[in-house]
Amino acid sequence: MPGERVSNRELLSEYRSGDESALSALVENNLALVRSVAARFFCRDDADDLMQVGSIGLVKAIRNFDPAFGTELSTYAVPMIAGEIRRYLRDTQSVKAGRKLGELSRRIAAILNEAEKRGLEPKLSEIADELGVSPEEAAEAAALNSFNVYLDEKPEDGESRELSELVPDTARTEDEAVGRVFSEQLLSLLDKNERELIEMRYRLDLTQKEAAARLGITQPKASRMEARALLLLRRHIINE
Amino acid sequence: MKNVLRTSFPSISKNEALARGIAAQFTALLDPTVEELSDIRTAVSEAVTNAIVHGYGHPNGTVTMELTSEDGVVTAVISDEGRGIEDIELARKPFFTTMPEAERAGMGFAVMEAFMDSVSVDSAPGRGTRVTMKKKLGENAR
Repeated sequence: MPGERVSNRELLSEYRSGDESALSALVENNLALVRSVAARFFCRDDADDLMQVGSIGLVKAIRNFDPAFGTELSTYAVPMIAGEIRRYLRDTQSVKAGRKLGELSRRIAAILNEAEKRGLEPKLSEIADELGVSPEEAAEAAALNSFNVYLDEKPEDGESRELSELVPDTARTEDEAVGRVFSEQLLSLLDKNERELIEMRYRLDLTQKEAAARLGITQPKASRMEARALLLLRRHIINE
Repeated sequence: MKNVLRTSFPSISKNEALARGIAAQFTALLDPTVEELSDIRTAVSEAVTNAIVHGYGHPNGTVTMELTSEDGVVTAVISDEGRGIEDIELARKPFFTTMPEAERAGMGFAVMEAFMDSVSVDSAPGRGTRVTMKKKLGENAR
């Protein structure tokens, strides 16, 4: 958004001319960026930790950034935020989950990425064989990769936003609630296909069958895509 | 070959993770894809959460989960003897929630329906709730 870029630029030049206090304003300004990068790595328990670690990456980016790079601060910051988070996960996730399970879950993610590129959907037994573990272990390891937010995970009280701001009371129409939840900001979290699908389903009120047809995919696939998109949106509603 | 697992547990939050782990391991026996496994895990998690949070809202209730697999179809029946649902159709609409202050986004049923092939709900106020979900494995979505 133009407004943000201008203030980033101003704050950056203040910071670079020696005003350390501009640093915290810059971090505040760009927390949404940290959140969107951290979101790619979310595992069940890690949200707050990932935000903290990601913010360290943001600070490093701010300290190193030079407008002469010719990019936006946000563009430059993304790989540094991601790098900090990856390093943190490498060092600690394996401790939380048990070294072997953490390592397994990463290898499963890699296998699935490769398979997806080739349009394949491997069975659990194939994955377990490739990793040299039992299917039970593979099943547990796969769970660590889940990007789902389960409702028994409670956000920290100070950080969470009142969902009543977003969910209607009985007097409001569902349409209005849907409109508020699907604000531009939240929709920007989805990829192009997911976004189209959500808009077709919830703004245009198409059935899953109709929406799937328009996207040129099967209905089960559309159904799955919709659920994943809703989960992603819910995660951001709960964690913001 | 048919397989059945029946388990019941108190309506405490930590049992949500336990229940989805059990459902995942049960499903793993059928050699699913990772996505199918994740789908069932998630749908069961939603249903169990509903039973614990909405059915009871306290730790002294009992939630029952019955898992069946036959001919590649996994059936999960999650039931409670709690409050029951007054208007099932309304409850199943996305974003409908009776707990706006509890940060629950009212998408539980939408998620269950999206990840499972079928979801049926049997419930009435004061008579508890029974959610039956089925998913056939090996139906390729691509």
